[in-house]
Amino acid sequence: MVDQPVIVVVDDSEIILERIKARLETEGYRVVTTAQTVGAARHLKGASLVIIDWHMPGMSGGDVLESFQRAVASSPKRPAFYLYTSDPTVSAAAKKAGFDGTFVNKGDDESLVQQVAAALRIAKLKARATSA
Amino acid sequence: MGQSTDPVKRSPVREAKGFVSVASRMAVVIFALVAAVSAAVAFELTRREESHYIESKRLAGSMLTELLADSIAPALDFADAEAIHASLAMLAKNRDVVDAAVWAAGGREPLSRLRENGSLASASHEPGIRVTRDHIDIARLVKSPVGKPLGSVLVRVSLAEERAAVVAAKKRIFWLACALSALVAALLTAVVRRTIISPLAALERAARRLTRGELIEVENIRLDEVGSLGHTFNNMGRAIREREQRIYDVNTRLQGLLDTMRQAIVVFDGDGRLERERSRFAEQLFGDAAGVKSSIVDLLFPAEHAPGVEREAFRAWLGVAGAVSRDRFDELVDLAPKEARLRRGDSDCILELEFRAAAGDTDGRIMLLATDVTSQRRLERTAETREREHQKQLGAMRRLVAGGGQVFVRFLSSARDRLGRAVRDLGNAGPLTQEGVERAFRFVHTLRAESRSFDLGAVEELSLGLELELAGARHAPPGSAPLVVARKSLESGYAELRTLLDDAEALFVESSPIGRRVLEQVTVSRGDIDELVKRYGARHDELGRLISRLSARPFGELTSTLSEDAARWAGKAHKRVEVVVTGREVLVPARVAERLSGVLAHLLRNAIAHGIESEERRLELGKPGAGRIELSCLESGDGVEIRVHDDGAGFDVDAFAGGNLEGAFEAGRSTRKTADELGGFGVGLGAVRDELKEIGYLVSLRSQSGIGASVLLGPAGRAAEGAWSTSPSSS
Repeated sequence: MVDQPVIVVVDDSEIILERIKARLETEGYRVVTTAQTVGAARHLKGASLVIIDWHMPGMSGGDVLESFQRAVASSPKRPAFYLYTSDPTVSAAAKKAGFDGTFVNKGDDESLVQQVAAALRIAKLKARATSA
Repeated sequence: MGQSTDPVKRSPVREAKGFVSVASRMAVVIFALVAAVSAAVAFELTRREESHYIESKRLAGSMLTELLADSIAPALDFADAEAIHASLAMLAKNRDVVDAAVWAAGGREPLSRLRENGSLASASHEPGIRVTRDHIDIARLVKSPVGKPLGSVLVRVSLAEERAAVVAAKKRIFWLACALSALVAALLTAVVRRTIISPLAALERAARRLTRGELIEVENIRLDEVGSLGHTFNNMGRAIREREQRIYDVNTRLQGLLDTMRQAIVVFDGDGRLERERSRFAEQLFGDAAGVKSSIVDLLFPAEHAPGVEREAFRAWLGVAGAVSRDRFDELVDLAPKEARLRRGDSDCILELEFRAAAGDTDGRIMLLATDVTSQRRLERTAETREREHQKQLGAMRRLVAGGGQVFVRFLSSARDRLGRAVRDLGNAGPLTQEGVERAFRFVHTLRAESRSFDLGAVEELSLGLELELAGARHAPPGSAPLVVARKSLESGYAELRTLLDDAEALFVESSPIGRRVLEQVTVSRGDIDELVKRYGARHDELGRLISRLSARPFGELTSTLSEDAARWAGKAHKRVEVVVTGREVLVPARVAERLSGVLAHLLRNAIAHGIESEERRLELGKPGAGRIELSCLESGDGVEIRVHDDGAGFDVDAFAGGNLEGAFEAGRSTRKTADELGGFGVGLGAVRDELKEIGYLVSLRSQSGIGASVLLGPAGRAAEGAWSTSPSSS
């Protein structure tokens, strides 16, 4: 499991976090979940992918992203940040806010698994292109 | 060779600028050659004609000059100028004579001239013939009959008619030569066209039709070189057709193979454009969407359904995979999508994807093998979800049992009571009121919190749903839609909650080693029980029986660790077993319980070592891969009857003395050649019998070769009735 990608999921719903964690762990990922935005940046070390809910209490997903990006600014390996939403209007705002992409169909765990795999493949292809 | 009248597209060479047909070239050459030959012949003929005309004129002129000289000789001898002049005048009637003159011997000026203004005055009258372009001058001496020179005469004869005749002859010959040349050229061209050009053209058309895949042969083959070429062409065409037929047959067989595979196979180029190759299943699965040149990205991840990140990832992969050489393609396989979901009406079709570098002349062609795994995935995921939920709840229940199940039992009891009140409240209240909403809200809210603490996810989720709905109806006016909807939700929700609580209890019982007795269990000190047994256990009255029951232990408690132990022991023997316990609630008397755990462990190890076959062997025999060992317990008077049954190979009766199953109890008897951690040399069963005999229990064996074996433990009284006789083959 050591070589498996680490995925950080930030959402204010414990139930959602638990469900996502259970589903992604069956796919072999190491999953770290947090409902707290304050201090959540400490989970980013070694993470390959960060999935963020847009509607967080007290701050938007964009604010969370901004704080996370500051936290990993000096890190040699920057994780990919994806917004998780079912609201298409938020998707457009996500790009502007600096997210690498958007996961849609929130609540559909099978779709999430496929999207997570796709995001990780994109990251690997980018890394491959950079190393070449 | 016959010419085809079918329209055949002209070849690019014919369409090219500067194209000149062989027929035209040959016509020009033939015409030029014939014309040159004709010109040479015409030149020679006219030259000869001209010479002939001039010679004739010269002879006629000479004769005329001769006659003139003879006729004027007397007149010249007598210097009769008049007679000389008269003779000259006679010449004027001859239209061929241009002029004439007579000179006296030694005279420089002519004595007489035919034309006074003629040009003969200055002409030479020396004897001889001089031919110019326009005339012939013939000069002759005039002599007396005795040969005395009397003078000379010069006659100029015109060549105008001859010249005109020559010109006319030249023209005639020229036109005749031209006509002859044209005729010969036309004839030769016609022959060349018929024998070479037309057959070649027919051959060319046939070759082009062959290129288009038509079955064509040239006909009417002549017996010449071109005919030989046509014959060779026909042979080539037949060879091509045979080869195409073989290729078609091979392709048909390959296509047949592809079509029988339940895989959708398509091929696309490096830009993701679909090519022509595909399996029949691909056509069925993708339909019109998989047209040639369609995008594989749109096919697998249509923009209207697929998440953008999946399209982006596939496009990124395609950009790399479509550009690498075939030998490096495998490096990218892991980065390709493994699965795609296609929308089919209201449901999704799940495809398992596999990409391979496609064979071909060029790199970048990729083959996709897509397998429809919709049913399989749904089953797997349903099973996974259920198993996960089951394991989660089982774990929670085990924790509960280990930590004191009475708390959970109290929760179940309390929740059922409150649910019963809530149902009655709902049923009696008529339309839902704000007070009713508040009571229901408090009930589901509490239930949600409690169920969460017991990891009852389904109860928690349902309670949460009801809570949210009630929250929305909290301030709704009486009789309004939210209250009506909330009431309906509560009716169905309460029924579902009751079912979920029942399920939770069933699971709790299932996870308990002592079965339903866990619901009645209370915590009592073991020391107190032992003290009671010590003081009153020997009594045969009601108190003695009660104390005996208090000190008894449920069969499930004695077997609680055996399932895990058996799995571990089997793993060491490279086998798999499943232990099933029935009668977990049956109370085993304390004196039996003290010895039973060890006995059962021993029997289990024996069954694994000697009875249960390896997984491979079991599968060969048509049995499930995992062996099954059943531990059953029944109440029997004051005691219990216990049966340990396995579905293995049974005892090897022939290995025992006299072929008697009783031999299994003899010390040192074993069907195994060596001792190991699981099964020793056979002292076990004998030791078991001796140990149980001390408490009045007997051991009996039953075996059926290849089917399984049973070990029965029971009170000696039952054995005396014949129920526990050892049997080698009865079922």
